Amino acid sequence: MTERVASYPAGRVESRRRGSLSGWVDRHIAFLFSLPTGVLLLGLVAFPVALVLWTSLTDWYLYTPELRRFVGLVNYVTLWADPRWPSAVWHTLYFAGASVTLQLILGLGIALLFNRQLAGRTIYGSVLLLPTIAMPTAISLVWKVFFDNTYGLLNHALGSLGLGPVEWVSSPEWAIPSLVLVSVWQHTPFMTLLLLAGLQSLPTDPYEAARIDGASGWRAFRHITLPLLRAHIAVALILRSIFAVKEFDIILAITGGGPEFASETMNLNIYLNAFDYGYTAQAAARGVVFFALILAIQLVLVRLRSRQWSY
Amino acid sequence: MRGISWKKLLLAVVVSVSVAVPATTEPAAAFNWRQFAGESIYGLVFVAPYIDAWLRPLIPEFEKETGIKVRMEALIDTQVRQKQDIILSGKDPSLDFYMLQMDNRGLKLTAANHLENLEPYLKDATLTPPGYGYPDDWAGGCLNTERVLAGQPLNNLVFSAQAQVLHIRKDLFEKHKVKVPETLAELEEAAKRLTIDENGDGQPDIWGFISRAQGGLATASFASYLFNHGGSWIKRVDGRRVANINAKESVDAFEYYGRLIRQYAPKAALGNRLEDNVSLFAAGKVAMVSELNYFIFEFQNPAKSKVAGKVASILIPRGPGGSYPNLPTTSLAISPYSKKKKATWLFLAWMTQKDKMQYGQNNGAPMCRKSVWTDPSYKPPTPEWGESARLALEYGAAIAKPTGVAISQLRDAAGAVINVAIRDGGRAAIQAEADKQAKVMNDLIESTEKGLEIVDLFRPGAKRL
Repeated sequence: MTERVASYPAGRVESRRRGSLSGWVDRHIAFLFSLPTGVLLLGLVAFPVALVLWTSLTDWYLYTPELRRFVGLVNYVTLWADPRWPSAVWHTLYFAGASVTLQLILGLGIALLFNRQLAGRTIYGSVLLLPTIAMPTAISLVWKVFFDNTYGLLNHALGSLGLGPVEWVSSPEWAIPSLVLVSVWQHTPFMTLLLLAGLQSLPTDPYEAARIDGASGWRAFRHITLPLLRAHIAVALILRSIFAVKEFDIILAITGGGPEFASETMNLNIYLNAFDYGYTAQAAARGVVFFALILAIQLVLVRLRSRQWSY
Repeated sequence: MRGISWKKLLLAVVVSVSVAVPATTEPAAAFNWRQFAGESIYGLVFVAPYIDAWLRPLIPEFEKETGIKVRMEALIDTQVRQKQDIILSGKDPSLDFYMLQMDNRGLKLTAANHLENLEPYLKDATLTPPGYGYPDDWAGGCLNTERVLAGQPLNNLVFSAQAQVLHIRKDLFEKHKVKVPETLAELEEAAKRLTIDENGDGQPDIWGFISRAQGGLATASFASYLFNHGGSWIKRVDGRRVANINAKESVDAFEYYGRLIRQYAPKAALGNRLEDNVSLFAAGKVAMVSELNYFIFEFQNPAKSKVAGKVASILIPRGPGGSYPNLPTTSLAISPYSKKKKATWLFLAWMTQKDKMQYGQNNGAPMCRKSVWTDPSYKPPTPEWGESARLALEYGAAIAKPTGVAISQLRDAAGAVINVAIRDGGRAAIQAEADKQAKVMNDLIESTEKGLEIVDLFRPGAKRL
């Protein structure tokens, strides 16, 4: 007791001993400072999550909310009977996997290039960042014009190379690859920034030693750069995969999930069920499954990050 | 008996006249437009030509005359519907009036009781001005779309009728000596002959035809082709509504429409929104476009179009099943949760008076009042347009979508068949998809329409073209 009160002025010790308000505040100061954050988290995160979980266990139809009943896990079972849902899951994994992989490869390549002492690197870096800071909807509308089968820039370029036109966003086969192209264009700079920061933080001694030992550039990259960059790659993959799985605006603006639902992802499917069809409860159940998928992907990547690499 | 003296007779006449005259010449009490002065109302509408041609420019005059402040928010259709749904489902009193298409979401909203009954307001002489003219001055095709459930009270005021027509390039038809189509067979022939490679590079520079091809959104343009082939979205079997998209005549229609777009429209049509199709036509790249009739004002505007003065608008040509003009209409409704319903009704009644609708009509917004079409101040943009609009108003029906509570999913189901028809085109593939989607539609009808008595598209006694 004596140690605890040694740092307090005598008057303060007296008020604490008497159980006054200021004493109570002193004892609970940590809690009080965290209270606003807690209330905010409760109101903006915990409450909506709880409401979605509860809604997913009912049969709430938007147009007759007064008829809502508890139905248990029925929505979680019936959603797999809707042929569009498993397709949406596949489209989400396809889109996210392809776009993040390409962003990683291209991002790493550009980061390696920028890590050298190039003339005008600052200018290139600034220009490179432009796609990342542009508005997704504006980007989507411009790319939609590029994708036009008859008058678009891409098919015009293909034609000038002697190649035939591609039905970019108007064929089910090319819809997702077209969206991947837009995503790669938009988000590779972000990947580049993360990896460049990682490259610039690497120690130079291993490279010196490798050079003395006569290692080639490729061997140095494979056995020194990649292992040392592992943590940064994992962070970049975790961040980009979350955003890629949640991608919504470019898909809605460019293809709307079509043609023939060929580019409908989980996010878009949830949105249509909730706000177009009015199936609030089913949309909530799909949202919970969507969250579980994102969590599963992150757990895999976090494990990858913590895995021991030998080099 | 002594006769009455002429003086007494004259006095009697003077007294009678002086008593009678005030009773016949006393002016009627003027309608009180200012009875809710000081109120303010809020409405949600969708972006469409009639907003800028009619509603928005008249609001200041309404505010001045009534003292009621109007705040109106115009969004694109998908955003408006979502916002309306959330506000109405939450019974939010902030929304006073909103715009809707009865053939689109009317059934869903009526079944959910999200529309105020307007009949008491129409019958109340203190709220509806004398000589208002409803329903006598409203076109039959418009009135057909107002009720969706049997026994339903009037819960919306239809004001605009925008028929789906075929806009054609008269100059191309004349130059290449192609007959303006009167049948669907002639339409296909015209599309073929007007798909023209002008510079000989093997790629058409002018396409013969374009229309909506994007899934569920395509149903609005496809509808007349479906019904003109003798098909339909839904039919009655033993009083029950069942999908009819897999009937022979319907599949004929899907095959025809798919072939037209696949062979005579740019590949871009598959991903185009209607605005893209309209732009292509206005840019002179297409000989015929199947779209809403109010786009004529855009086509005739030299600032926005390269084909001004070269366009005629005709009804979708007759097919083996007849001629069924597609007449999607737009209505204004009052939210049942509003706290200012009477003031809101005054807004609706004021805006839909004859002179106000005449203003809209003359500014390019086709209106539902019959008298605005025959008023001397009105000049149709082209004679053919005027004739097609007149026929659609008189004989049209809201056939644009398969009506139902689950309207979005029903449209998507029909749209899936349109997609197969365009992309594949084979009869077997179209039939297989139509059978599959018919089952989807039947399941939706079964699960969402229990206990609802939905009225048919064509009312008993409705006139046929």
